[in-house]
Amino acid sequence: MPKGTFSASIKHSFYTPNSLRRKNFWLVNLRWASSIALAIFILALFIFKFEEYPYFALIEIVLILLLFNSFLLFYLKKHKPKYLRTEEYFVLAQIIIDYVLLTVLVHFTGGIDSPFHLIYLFHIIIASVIFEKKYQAFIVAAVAVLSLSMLVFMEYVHILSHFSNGVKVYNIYDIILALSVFYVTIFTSTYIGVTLMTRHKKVKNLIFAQNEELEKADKEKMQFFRFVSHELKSPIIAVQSAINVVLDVMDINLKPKARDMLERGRKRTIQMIDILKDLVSLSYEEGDTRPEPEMVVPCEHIPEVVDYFKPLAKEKNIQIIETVCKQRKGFQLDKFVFEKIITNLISNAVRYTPNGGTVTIKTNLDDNFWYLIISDTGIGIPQEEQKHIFEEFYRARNAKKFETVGTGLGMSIIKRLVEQENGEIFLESEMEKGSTFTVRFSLK
Amino acid sequence: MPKKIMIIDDDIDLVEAMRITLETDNYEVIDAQEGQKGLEIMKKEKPDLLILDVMMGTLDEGFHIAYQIRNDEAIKDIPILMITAVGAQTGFEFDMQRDEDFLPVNEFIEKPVNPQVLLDTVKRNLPIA
Repeated sequence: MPKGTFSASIKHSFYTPNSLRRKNFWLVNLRWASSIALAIFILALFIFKFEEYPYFALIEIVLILLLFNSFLLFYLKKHKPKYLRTEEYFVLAQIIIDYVLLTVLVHFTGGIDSPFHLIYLFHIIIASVIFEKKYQAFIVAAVAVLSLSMLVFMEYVHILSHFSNGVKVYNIYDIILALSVFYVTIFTSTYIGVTLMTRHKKVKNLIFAQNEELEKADKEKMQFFRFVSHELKSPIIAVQSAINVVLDVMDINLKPKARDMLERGRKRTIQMIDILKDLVSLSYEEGDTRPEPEMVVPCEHIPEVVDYFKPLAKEKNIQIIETVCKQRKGFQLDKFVFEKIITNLISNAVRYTPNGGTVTIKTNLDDNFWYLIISDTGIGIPQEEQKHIFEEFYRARNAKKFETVGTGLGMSIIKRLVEQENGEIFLESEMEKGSTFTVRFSLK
Repeated sequence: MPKKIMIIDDDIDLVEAMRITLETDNYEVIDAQEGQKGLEIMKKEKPDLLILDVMMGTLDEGFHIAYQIRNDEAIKDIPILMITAVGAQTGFEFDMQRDEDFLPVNEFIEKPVNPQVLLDTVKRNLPIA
């Protein structure tokens, strides 16, 4: 990918206010853990009496740490994350307060000799992971270096007392050596952390940019697909219109065989148009302009659809039984999608039920779901083919025999629409006895 | 005198099919394959009804033509039937009740047009004279 397009697509920050907020919570959790670790450490020192430590001061540090952490947790829980900048300040504030407490801890455990000064490193790692800009991690590193240097300096010039903990020799050369090692460790760690993180961010951004490209390509493909479907539809519509005129308008005496052939032709054009319509509706992926789902009372829409199929059912002498619809309250659904789902299901039931059969539309309700159950006394779907019935272009063998015209897209469209509304669809079927489709929507 | 029906549609085969259908009911049919030319002919011939294809050169040329007609004093009262495959094409279902404010046509007929539906719709929308 050319560099220009790549950098142009990084217009957003690596973190969002929400993801940085999670990092803030992560720091709070780490602090609980380190407070407990510190408390256990102090207890161990006390029990085994390694050295004479100022235990009261140490316990106070733990208490302040716990108090500060509780306050932080309370505040973070109460206020929702809004701006990236504020979340960054939170992280920085946490690090600085930690450093202040850490420096006090280091002071009471031996200054430059304290093993605790390794803890300064933790925050360097945290800073290089969290902060957007490289220099921000280096600022934290500088704060660490300054804190310890100041402490050591004040202890050296006796502004602060030095808790020597049995270390007898305490001269300037030891101090300079220890501090130098500390500086090198801190800055090298910062450099490594920041470099690794930059690389990680680059890779992540690259993946993101490529993903965007792919989505765009996919969208373009779908648009092209719709365009092609339309282009294919125009000629077939013209063909059908021409046949219609000959068969229905012109008053000519066609031989029965000629009329039959034209009828067959017309039937195939209808099939072709149906396929194209289905293809177009299949090409609508999620994320395209869709109306916001609204509160839909499903019972209000069922009778309308049933009425629509009554003439066809009457022609085939099929009885449509509609039981009392349950659920008078509305729930989140797209009205048009819902109507499409019932229309397709009832249409299938009527089409694949032989003359004299019945199609039953039932609804049911429990605590969590609303159910739409459409059953017929139709030809049924063979057991071994049931798992394929929702696949695109799949038509069961007996369905093809029963109804020559069919696109094999109907069920896959229904399934997709049901899933789009976060519903589920189930099938039970027995050959020659009939099929039952159950659609289930969550009431929440 | 037979009623005069104008068809604006760029698919001449469809125009021909509609012409034959309409002529069986003794309508006089005139046509144009392109919007602006259709407008000119309309102003001259003053048809009793217009059948307009929604998509010709562009996806919505038909709509623009319909707006122009509605804004032209001389021809603004001519009923318009809009022939459309748009419903299937964009997944956008037209709903007359809802859209009449911004769609200045009298009725939609979806392609492919069934001859009987065409004749019924034309009859229903012709001004009573």
